[in-house]
Amino acid sequence: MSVAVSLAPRLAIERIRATKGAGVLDAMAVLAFTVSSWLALTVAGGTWMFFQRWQAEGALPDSQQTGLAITYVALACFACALLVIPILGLGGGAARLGARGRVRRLASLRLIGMTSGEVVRMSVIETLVQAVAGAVLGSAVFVVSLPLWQLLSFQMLPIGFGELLLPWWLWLAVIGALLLLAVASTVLGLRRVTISPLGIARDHTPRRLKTWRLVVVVALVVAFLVYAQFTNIASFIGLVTTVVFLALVIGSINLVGPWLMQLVARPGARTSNVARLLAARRILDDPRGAWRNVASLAFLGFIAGFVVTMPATGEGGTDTFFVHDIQTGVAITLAVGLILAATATLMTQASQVFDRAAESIALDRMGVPATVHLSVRRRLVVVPLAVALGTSVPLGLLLSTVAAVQLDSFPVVGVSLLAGTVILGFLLSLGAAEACRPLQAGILTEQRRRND
Amino acid sequence: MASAFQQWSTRDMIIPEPPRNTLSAHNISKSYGAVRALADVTLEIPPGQAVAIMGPSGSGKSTLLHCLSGILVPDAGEVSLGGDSVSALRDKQRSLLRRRRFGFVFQDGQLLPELPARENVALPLLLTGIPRTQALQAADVWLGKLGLAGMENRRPGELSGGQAQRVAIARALIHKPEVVFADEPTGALDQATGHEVMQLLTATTARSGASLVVVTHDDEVARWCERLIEIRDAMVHDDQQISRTIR
Repeated sequence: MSVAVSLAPRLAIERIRATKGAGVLDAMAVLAFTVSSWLALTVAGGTWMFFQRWQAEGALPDSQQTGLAITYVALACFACALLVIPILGLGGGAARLGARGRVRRLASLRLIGMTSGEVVRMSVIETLVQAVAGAVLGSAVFVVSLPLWQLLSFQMLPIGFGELLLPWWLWLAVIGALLLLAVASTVLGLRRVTISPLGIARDHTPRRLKTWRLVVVVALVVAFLVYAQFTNIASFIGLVTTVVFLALVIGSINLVGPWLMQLVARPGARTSNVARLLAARRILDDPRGAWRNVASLAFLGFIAGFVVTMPATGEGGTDTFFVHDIQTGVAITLAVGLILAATATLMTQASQVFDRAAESIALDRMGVPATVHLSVRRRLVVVPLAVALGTSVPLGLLLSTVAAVQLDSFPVVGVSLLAGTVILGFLLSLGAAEACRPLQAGILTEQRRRND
Repeated sequence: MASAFQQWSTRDMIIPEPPRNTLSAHNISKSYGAVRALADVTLEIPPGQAVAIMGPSGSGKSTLLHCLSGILVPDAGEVSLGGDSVSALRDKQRSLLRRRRFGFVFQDGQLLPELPARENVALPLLLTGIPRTQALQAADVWLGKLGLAGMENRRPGELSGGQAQRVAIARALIHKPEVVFADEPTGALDQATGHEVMQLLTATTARSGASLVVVTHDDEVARWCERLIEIRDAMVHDDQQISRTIR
C-alpha cells in the first residue's frame, strides 16, 4: 500500500476528531457532503416516485391524471437538472474547503519527499474519506426525513413512506455521482495551485475582466427575445430550440457575473472605510471566486423570476391539481436550492476564516476591532448576493414574458415564491456569515496562547 | 537611504506629534495552565529607547512582548504607559490603545495580500478616521523614505521579503506610535536583508522618537538595539546596555 493511501485516511480522521483548527473544516466538509447527499437522494427519490406512479397504470385516482403522469416524470427530471448546479457548487466547495491550509500542509509533505502525484492522490483520498462519511450520514438523514414528506401530496395522492425510497442501484448511482464530482473538484482545484515544497505561488495583481462579457450576454438576451417573437414555441422543434437558447442565456449569467462583481466592487476600493475597502479589494482580487460563491443563488433567483407569472389556480378538475402540484414542486426545488446555497456560503466563509487566520491575528494585534472582521464578512456575503439576485431575477422576469400566459389576476404564488427566495437567500447567507463568528473568535484566542 | 531621511520634514505629518512616555511593567506574571510564562517581571523602557528581548524558545519573551503591548493581560502585576495602566483596560480599550499608540512589525510582514503597498501602509490612518487621500499621501511619503518609491501600487506578492518588511515598517510608524513592537522582524529574511531591515527599523523608529521593543533569537539583530534584556525561565535573567551597531 502506498504512503498516500495509508496516510491520508488516518490524517483526515484525526483532523475530524480534533475540535479545533483544520478539524472544523474537515467536519464542515463532511456536513456539506451530508447535505448534498441528503438532498440529492431526496430529489432522486421524488423523481423515482413519479416514475413508479407512471409505470403503475391505474394507480392514480383520475384517468386524466394517468395521462399526465409522464409529464410529472419529465418535470421531476427537469427539477433534478436544475438542482445539479447547486449540488455541484456545494460538492465542489467542499472539495476546495480550506484550500490554502491544505496546500500548506501538502507542501510540507512535499518537503519531506512525497512526489507531486502522491500528494494529489492523498488529497483525493482525503476528499473521498469526507465524501463517504457525508454520504453515509446523508443517507441516514434521508431515511429519517422520509415521514415528513407524507405531509405533502402530488397527483391527488399523499406521498407514501416507501415511495421515495430508492432501489439500491439508483442509490449507488446517486452517491457514486457525488463521489465522482468530489474527486473531480479536488483534482481540478489542486491543478490551480502548484504544490511545490515551498507552498503556494505568490499572489499578483489580478487582470481586469473585459467588457465583452457584458456585450455577449446582452446580445444573447436580445437575440432570444427577437427569436421568441418569430418562433412557434408550441411546436416540438420550437420547444427544443427555445430550451437550448434559454439554457445558453442562463449559462451566460456566469459570464457576466464576475464582470459585474468587479464593476460593483471597484468604487469600494477607493473608500476610507476599512471594512468596505477590504471587502471590495477581496472581491476585486478574485471576482470569479466571488461569483462562484453565489452562482447557485443566482440560478435560483433566475428560476424564481421566471416562474413569477405562474398561474395561481387552475381551471378546475385535474388542471387545479396540476397547477397546485407545479407550485409545490417549484417551492420544493427552490427550498432545496436555498439550503444547498446556504450550506455552501457557510463553508466558504468558514474556509476563509481559517485561510486568513494569520492576517486576522495580525490585524487584531494592531488593534483592528473585531467588528471590522464581521463587517468585511457581511459585505463579502451581501454584495455578491445582491449582484447575483439583482442580475438573475430581472433576467428571469424578462424571459418569463416570452412564456407568460394571460393572467386574470395578480400572480400571488409566483410573487410570494420570488419574495421568499430573495428574503430567505439573504437571511440564510447572512446567518451563515454570522455562524462563523465563534470560529473567528476561537482562532484569535487560540493563537495568542500558542505563540509563546 | 540616508539621503531619503534627510528629506524628512514636518509637512509630511498628518497626526500631531504624540507625547512620549515610558512603558513600564511592574511585577507582571503570566501562566498558561500549569506553565508559567512570566514570573514577577519588572522593567521600564524610556521614550526613544531601542530594546532587544532575547531568550531561548519557551522562555517567555513573546509573552512579555504581548503583555507590554496589551495583546495579553498579565495574571498579576501591571503594565503602564506614562502612568496610564494598560493592563487595567478592557479588551476594546486595549485594541484602541494598540491602534493609536503602538505600532507592530511581524516576522513575515503580515501584510494584507489584496491591498497594494500604499493601502497596507495607510491602514492605521484609515482606521483612525483620516480621509483616504491624506492617508495615501502620507503612505506614499513613507514608502519613499524607505526606498520603495515607484512600488506604491505593488501588492505584497509582487515584493521581495525585504521590501515587504519595509512596507510593514512604514505601516508600523505611519500613525506616529509611542512604542513599536517587532516580533522576530528578520526571522523570515536572509542575513543581508535582515541587516538592511534592522537598520531601517532602528533608524526610522529613533527618528520618529518612538521606543522600539524587538523580540529576537539573533545576536546580530539584538546588536542594533541599545539595551538587551535576556529572559530565561520566565524571569529577567540579564538587563544591560550594549554597544549597538552603528546606524
